Amino acid sequence: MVGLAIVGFLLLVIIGIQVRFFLRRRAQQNTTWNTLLARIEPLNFADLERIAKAYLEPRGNQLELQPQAMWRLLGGADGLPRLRRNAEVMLDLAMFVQRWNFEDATVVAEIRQSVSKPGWGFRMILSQGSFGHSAFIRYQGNRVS
Amino acid sequence: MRLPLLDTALWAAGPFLNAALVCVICLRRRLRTFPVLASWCAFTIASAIALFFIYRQASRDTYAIAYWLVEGVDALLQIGVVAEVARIVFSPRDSLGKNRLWLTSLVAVGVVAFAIVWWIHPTSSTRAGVWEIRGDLFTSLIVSGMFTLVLLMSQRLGFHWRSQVMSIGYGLMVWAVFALVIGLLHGYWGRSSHYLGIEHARMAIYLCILSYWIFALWRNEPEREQLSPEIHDAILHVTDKVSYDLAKVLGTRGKEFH
Repeated sequence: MVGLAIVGFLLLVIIGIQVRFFLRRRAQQNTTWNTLLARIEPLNFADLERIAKAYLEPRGNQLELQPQAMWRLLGGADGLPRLRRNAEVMLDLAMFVQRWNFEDATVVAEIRQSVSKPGWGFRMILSQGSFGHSAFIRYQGNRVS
Repeated sequence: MRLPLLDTALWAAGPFLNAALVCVICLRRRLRTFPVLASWCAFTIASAIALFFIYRQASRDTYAIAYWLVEGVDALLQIGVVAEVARIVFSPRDSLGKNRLWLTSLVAVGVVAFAIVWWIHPTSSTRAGVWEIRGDLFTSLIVSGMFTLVLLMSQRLGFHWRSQVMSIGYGLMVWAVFALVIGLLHGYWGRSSHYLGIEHARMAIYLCILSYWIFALWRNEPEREQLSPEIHDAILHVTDKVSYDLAKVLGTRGKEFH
């Protein structure tokens, strides 16, 4: 009976994942360039660059930045969720580009790699910082239709 | 022994729809894209015919051996279809093969499925009946687990599902859920009076999915439209900027990062 209960639980989990996938794909299919850019949250690239450099080029055996300062530069409690939300926008952008006849396949691979390549923490943070910064400025500057 | 009309109709509809699907795959030149799906259909037709003649002319033992052989190959081909969908979705593939999470998850699905099947004890008057229910549930768990992993990884890595492979995916989604429900019901009731009714439901769902695949693969893949030059330039600008920023910061440590 326990085995069957586990199968029942797995069944519910699978249905939940499938429904979420279905709804998310439908939303992605209807996404436009402007709605995608509107979801981007601004990030201070200079601050993120400082964190990355502190790790990449530590002075002596000490990190220049203390964890508290790093946390503040990341944007405090909202910093990491903001990075995550921007990462989702980047993934949606990769999917958006694949929907169209976009001849440069390396662009899609680059976007995807920047967000999801495992073990590349700083690269990921920097990518999202740069993406949030430049895409937000572009969105503010001139929306395209 | 004559089979009831409903059983005969459901049994005959399976090879018929599979033959129609193989024809659609060949006529619409989709064999290179879906070779495993086509093989699964061809195998289902061949095995149905072979089992029919073995049932009528050979001994019970021969039929039992042939039946288990067919079930085993069928399970492998179902797994193959999920792998084929994964291959299409994750193409061009760069990091998936080396992705530890993906490989670990696949192994975990196999271990969990095996443990559950070993644990449950469905009621059946024969030992073969118990193993048949266990075997079906094991295949259902593996197929649904693998397919769920493909869904999760495609979302996590930002892979787009094009129209036709998505249709195969929707069919697999429905099949994965119903196969588990049916496995659950068989596990609970065993080979009681409900067994045949549940098998009819399984067959009816399978036939509906085959019909949907025939319709989906007959239609052409929608053409990808051209992006407007403004959006095209905007995407290039943003990705160039990200690459430039990364190169600027990581440039001094390039060798360690590339």
